[in-house]
Amino acid sequence: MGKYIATRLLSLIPVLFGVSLIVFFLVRLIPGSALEMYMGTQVEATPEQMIELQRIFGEDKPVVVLYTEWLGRILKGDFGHSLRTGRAVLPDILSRLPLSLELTVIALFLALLIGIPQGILSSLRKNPVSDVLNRIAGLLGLSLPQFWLASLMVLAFSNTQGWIPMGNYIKFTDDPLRNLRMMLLPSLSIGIGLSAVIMRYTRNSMLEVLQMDYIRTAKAKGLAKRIVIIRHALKNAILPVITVAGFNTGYLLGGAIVIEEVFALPGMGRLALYAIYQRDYPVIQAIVLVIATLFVLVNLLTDIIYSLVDPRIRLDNGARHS
Amino acid sequence: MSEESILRVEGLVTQFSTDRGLVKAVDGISFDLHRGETLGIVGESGSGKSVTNLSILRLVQSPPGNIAAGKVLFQGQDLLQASEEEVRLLRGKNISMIFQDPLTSLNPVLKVSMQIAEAIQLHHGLGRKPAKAKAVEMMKLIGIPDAERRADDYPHQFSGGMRQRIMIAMALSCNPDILIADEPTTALDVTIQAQILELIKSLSAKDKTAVILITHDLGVVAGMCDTVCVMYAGRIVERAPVDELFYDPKHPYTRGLLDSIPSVDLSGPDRLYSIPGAPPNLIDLPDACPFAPRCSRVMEVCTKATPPETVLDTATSRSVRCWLHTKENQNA
Ligand SMILES: Nc1ncnc2c1ncn2[C@@H]1O[C@H](COP(=O)(O)OP(=O)(O)OP(=O)(O)O)[C@@H](O)[C@H]1O
Ligand SMILES: [Mg+2]
Repeated sequence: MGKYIATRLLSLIPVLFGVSLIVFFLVRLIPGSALEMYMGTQVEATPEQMIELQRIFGEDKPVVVLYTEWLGRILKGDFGHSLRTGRAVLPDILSRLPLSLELTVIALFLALLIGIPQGILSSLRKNPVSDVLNRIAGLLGLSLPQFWLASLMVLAFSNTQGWIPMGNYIKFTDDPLRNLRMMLLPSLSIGIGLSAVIMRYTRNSMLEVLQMDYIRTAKAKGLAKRIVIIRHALKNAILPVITVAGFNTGYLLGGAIVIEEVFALPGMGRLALYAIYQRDYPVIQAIVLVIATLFVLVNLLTDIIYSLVDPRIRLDNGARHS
Repeated sequence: MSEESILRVEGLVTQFSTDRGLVKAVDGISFDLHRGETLGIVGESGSGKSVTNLSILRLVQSPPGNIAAGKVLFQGQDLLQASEEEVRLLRGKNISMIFQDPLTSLNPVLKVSMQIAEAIQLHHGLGRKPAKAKAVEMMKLIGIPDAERRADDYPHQFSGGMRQRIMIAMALSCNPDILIADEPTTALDVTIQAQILELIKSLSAKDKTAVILITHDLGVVAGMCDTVCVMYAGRIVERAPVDELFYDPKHPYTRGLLDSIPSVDLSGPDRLYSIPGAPPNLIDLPDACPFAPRCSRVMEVCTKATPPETVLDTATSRSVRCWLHTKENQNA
């Protein structure tokens, strides 16, 4: 296992290299440079001042040269400074990352908490009415835009103290209960779509597993229905759900970026959004690298969890057969 | 055979409702099973062998399956009338089953010792630890080398034969009165087959466990069974003590099955014999002998009415369902 994890972590290097390349050139394709955004339309500057500004904003050299210089600094751990605030990029990101991660984790947790039991229940009662209701709920959960749901929640709860963060965000480390309460609605608006996906997957997977020979064996042993379902069926049925949940966690993180804006949560998402508005290249680039790293880590974690549940998967190639 | 009967099946009918109509998979089956007896059930694929035995434990998938009529008397109690909970507690304790394919019949994500132990835990009220110890003991008994170390392995880490041994350990762990073995060796290669059958034979003899052995291999029947039921299209067409079945088959279908056994006798015809035609569609069976279209001795009456069961010998409960052997035709 250790060896496997090490190999997977090594694969981060080419991934991050590719991502750095793409993001560096992509952000520069957005119309309007950082300098233009900074200058606006009113300010006049002398040619000498312009040259100095171009140097500060990193627009004085060909893009390829700028890229190699940037990459070189990153390799030394220097992610540069914000073009707008002049602050170091990395500490700013890292201080906002926990909030976005917390949102993502709670959203994932809620999605599983809602989706899995629902999926199991609907696989057990094969009643056409409840099946249709389930499908509709699933479809709604999937197709309602997150930001719309979030806005509705803000409207509905704006008079209720403590549920909507709105500017007075409280850190988990300061007051866990109040923090969790204000994270609930934002997380729910992100996670509800995934809960619908998880519900469908759990249901279909359960229906398939319940047909298996080993379920018949479990029943033939005299086990109670509850044990047959949880111990024998669910443990098998959960496998595709793990894959799908892992795959979608990155999507949740993307949702967090939008939802933070709706609920005015000071997470990495808002940082990213403003950085994009203002063409704050160093910030955008660093955030994208951080997100790419998270994607790889989440995938790795998914594979590890999968292998823990399914003994047939061995991450190292040292399986013992006889 | 005068011993008490431990299981009596009477007029069992099991149907499946499908898109194309009602499939009568089991259509009025009756038999007795005595303590310590090994009863063979033979018949072509689709003749209803598995459904019969799943019906005994009420394990037929429902829907689409439905046990429409009959009685399954276990020690006098009708399991078809009993509550679900009563039947559940008999499963694995008094009547247990092993299935054809040990790979798909074992849960791939649970340790084998756990899969054996959970029945022991349930039926003997043992704790986790003692149940596991008993499971390891069972694994030793059925001949799994290095059982202690292999106890925490998963099914995919065992060979086919070893997996079937684990199924047997699981089925016999609570000393059942009846073991139902549904083609236990079909998925295994020949040398392993003999070992597994030998194992079933010796363990069941030791505890006087009654065995229902489902197979389509008459060679297996000859080596293992006391009595044989031959099934065709959901019915028992012939029932006989094993020797009588081989030396004096009454039903043309039984004769056909016997003739299809490949023989090593070089003087015989060098082509393999097989019964011409295919089993009938079980939807809308006409009132006729279902074997008539394939029968070499078909008579006019065979296509006009279903033959009744004719008891040929009450002592051995030898019987046949064929117009050739009804009382009238015998006397004629
Ligand atoms: N779930 C089901 N739905 C519909 N029909 C079924 C179902 N299960 C069994 N049947 C039908 O019942 C009949 C008997 O099946 P059964 O499995 O008992 O045959 P079998 O004698 O055990 O055959 P084999 O030797 O192939 O195991 C078959 O014709 C089959 O099509
Ligand atoms: Mg079968």
